Amino acid sequence: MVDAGDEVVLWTSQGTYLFAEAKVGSTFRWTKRERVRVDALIGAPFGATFEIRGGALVRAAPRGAATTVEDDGERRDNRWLADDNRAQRLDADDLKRMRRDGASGEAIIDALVAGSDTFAHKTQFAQQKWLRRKQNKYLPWVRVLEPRAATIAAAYFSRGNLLPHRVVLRPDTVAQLVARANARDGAKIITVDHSGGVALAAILERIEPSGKALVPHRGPFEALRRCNLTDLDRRVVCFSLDETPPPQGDSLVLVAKTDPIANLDALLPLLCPSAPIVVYSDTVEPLAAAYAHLQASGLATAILLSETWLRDFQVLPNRTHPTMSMSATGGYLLSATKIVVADAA
Amino acid sequence: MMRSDDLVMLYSGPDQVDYAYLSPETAGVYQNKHGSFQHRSLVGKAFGTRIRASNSDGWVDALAPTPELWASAVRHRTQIVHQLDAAVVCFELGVRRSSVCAEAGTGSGAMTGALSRSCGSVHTYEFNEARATAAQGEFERNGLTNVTVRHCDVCEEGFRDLDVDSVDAVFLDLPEPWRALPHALRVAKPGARIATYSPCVEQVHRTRDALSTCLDLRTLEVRQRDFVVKDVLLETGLAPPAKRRKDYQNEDDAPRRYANCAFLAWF
Repeated sequence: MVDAGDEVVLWTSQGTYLFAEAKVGSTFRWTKRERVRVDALIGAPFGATFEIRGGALVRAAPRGAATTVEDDGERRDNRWLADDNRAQRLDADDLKRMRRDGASGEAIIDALVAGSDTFAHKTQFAQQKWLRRKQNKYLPWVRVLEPRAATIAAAYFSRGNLLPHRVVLRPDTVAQLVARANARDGAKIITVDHSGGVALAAILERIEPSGKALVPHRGPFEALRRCNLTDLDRRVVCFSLDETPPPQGDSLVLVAKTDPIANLDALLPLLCPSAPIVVYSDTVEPLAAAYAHLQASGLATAILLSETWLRDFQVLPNRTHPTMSMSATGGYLLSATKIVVADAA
Repeated sequence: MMRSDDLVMLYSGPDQVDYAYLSPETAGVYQNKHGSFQHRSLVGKAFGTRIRASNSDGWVDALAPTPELWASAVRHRTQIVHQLDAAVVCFELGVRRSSVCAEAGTGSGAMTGALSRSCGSVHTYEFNEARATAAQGEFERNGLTNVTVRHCDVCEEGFRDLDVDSVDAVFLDLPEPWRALPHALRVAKPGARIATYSPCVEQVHRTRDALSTCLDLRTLEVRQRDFVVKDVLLETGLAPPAKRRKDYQNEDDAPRRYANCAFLAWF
């Protein structure tokens, strides 16, 4: 359940993510000019759906299921379609006027269907897709999501173009990162995080309740503020390389904009033997160099340089296919395990 | 520090990962193509030590167990969920120490290990009695104390001993996940997440139909591509080089492509 003061993630019918704070009187930016009040979030269960009416969120029935179109048994296709941009008789001014006069989303969609010369000739699948798009636009809704690591990662990834100064991690790469780092309860994980806290959020989720993230810099980790974590000072401990004795880590995670070889040289001595090492980069060359460096050092085994490939599918009767566009790369991961060589017996 | 009776992962290459329970008292020996290694030469050394063979120049790295290493070493009683997919499932299920998770079927227990690392408790179900017994023995010996194994066909009997609205995450790796889903939805808390793992798209169709009351359905496929890193010296000239050169020093350097692709469906 959403408590007053919680940070939440909102997933919109247009497929975008927004951040909001569930506080009485608090708002989030919906369009350029429109802000929406979030009061209705407080007390709602995570996963609840809301419509946007009169500048406020209003609790609504769950949405997101496919709209069905009655099959009238008629075969249709687009052989007569002229792509001359004149199929819709309503123009932008008509729509603006309807909205100003307070027309409901349903009324606008009905008018768009009536104003379309081509709607009736579309196949049922095409009609359904067309209607769903219009509904997502003119009857917008949002779903409130718990800010767990996967949600935070997805939200930051979808807004990655707004963060040119950050490492932008694809969520499935974060998943590989925390798995290969063997992040678990009680672990002390040395973490360099230039992703704004997205990697740290995933690490903290795995090492609770007694693990710690040891960080050699103070941030910025603004993603952590969106996770409703208490006790951050205990979980994320800042250290300096000059400390004596130096801290010791059970794993090393590097998600840095800086040179991996220099970072490895500085931080490898802090790792206990058998500690996993995971290094991220959005280009492969620095990791290829770091791979060779680790191999030559004799300090690591099970060295692996890889990338993951991720494809989402639309699954609908007779319309199952990979989604039309996919992310070309989730970046690259170099992983290894620290070793020491036994003295010759 | 490695001690008698400890589980130790023995790594000598990506395609040669084994394990041993150290038994120096009975003169335990681990042997592979690189040589033989006396268990007593490991005892007292730190996990993460490279050990020399007693009879050759070979070596093996004695590593602390992780679910990833275990999955590479475990004897396959069934097709296993590889670490690549296990990582994505655990992350998207959002499991953490406060989570109760239900899994069916247990199979070789590779996925159970990954869930056990992240969850507070894991209830895993297996309809093959021999597999359930073997998995239970392994979990006990490996110290996975938060795992409970039950011999039970969840498609027929449901998730035995679990209450209504009691689990935060469900993972189904079954031939017919849609038959177990009504039971899964019964034990899942409101807002719980469910993942199914199926190799065939027809299975995904039937699974999606059974999940029609759920929101945020997502179907995805993950793969991993490994890179070889090596220095290459190229000769100049338009004619093919006279000497035949091996592309790779040894087989371990050849690029590998994991074909552990699967469809995953989210709720």
